[in-house]
Amino acid sequence: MANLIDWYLVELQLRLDCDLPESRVEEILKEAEQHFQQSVRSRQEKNVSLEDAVEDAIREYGSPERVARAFLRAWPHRVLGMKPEWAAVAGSGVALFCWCFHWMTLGGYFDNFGETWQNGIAGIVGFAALALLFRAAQAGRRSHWAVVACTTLIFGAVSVPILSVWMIPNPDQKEEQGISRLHLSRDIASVERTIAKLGEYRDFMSRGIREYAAAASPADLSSDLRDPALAGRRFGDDWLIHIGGRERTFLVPYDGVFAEVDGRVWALLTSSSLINAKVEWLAKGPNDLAAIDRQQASLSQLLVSARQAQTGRLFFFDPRVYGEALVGLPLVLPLFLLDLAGYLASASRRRWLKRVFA
Amino acid sequence: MIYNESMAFRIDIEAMVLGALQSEPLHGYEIVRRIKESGGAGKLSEGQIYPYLHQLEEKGMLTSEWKTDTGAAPRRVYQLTESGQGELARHRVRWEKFVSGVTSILAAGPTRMEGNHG
Repeated sequence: MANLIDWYLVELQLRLDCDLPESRVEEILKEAEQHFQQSVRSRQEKNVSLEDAVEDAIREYGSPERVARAFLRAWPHRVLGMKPEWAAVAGSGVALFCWCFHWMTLGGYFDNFGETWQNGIAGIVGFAALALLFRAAQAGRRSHWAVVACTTLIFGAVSVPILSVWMIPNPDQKEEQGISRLHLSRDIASVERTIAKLGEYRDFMSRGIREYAAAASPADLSSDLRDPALAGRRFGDDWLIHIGGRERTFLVPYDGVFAEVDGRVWALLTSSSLINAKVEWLAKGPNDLAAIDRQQASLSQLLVSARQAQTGRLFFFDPRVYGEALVGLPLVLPLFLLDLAGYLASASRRRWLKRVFA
Repeated sequence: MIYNESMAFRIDIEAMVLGALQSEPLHGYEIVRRIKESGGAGKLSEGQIYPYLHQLEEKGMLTSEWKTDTGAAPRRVYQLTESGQGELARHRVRWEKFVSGVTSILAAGPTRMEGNHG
């Protein structure tokens, strides 16, 4: 019969081991063993058989799961000095904010390339917050599993309508791009500027395709087609002014065209040789003209959405807006699933407990 | 503070533990037995009462030591500290207030509803 108590203590230990310090687990088990000994002895003194006394003592003590949860709840788990549930709240909140940071920056627009320093910092902080969420879920998955799981899911659920209302999505754009409801007037003007700039780029590139196809020497080209700084000043794109060096004098099409809602456009690169530049214009020029058309159409649709937002339309539940925020949420679920799997895997050991607690 | 809400009124398990220890130091089994026999543990199993002992010890209201000189297996014996006695006194005042309030209502007996509905 002592074997039954040993089994019980093993079951209890399994449920405490991963979450409590070893010394604390030892203390709990030692005290439980002492409790069982006294409990069995006092029952035997009332002429209860040893077998019944052990089973009664175990039944009265409570199932290992219930008892383990009670100990885990009582143990002052702390993650960065916070209770697990608060750490989960903080981790979820910061992680969601960072995932959506490009939507929420004071700039108000999504940075397609993630190249701003704000996005870099948001990425690092977001990963740290994710780690905090994992740690909180790990620390509290047994004792506070309901709170931690609910907190995470509620944050995800709440973020959907908030982001849906906050951000104006582009209804027909594969690349995520949108503008903040808080900056509608400013960003509508920016998008109009971007569309106009794309029109200028189209004219420039059409001319580039023609001139480079016919050019036998650099002198056959217009000056802005062989001077990045000049083209940069014309389009107001600083990066073009600073690109390349003295030897990179020929402008060539970028592999694709990217336009931001704040007015920045990536459509050109430079080359150092006329021959290479001619090949580049031949290969990429027509594709980039088509890309410019797509970007203009796409931004025009964003403008339509933004103007609808100005008249009060809410963009509820557009997955392009909240999709990213939800991606991370299932990440905490494996912890709970693993825990459940471990619990189910110990089914054979629990068979006798089932009989006792039946 | 955790209450057992399965009772008709709320019982503070911490107060029960402190009360069980007010007259003498006891080991865990004896504390649990007394609380269970009083009916104050509600649906809590014996094993679920031990965490309260540990919590009270961490709060400085109890101290414990393993006694090995009893001739039997080592036992962890709990004892009230001064802080625990102060807390128990506060619990007692609250409890007496609660009991006298309930008693005054129950002792008033049934009253007849007066009104115009006949």
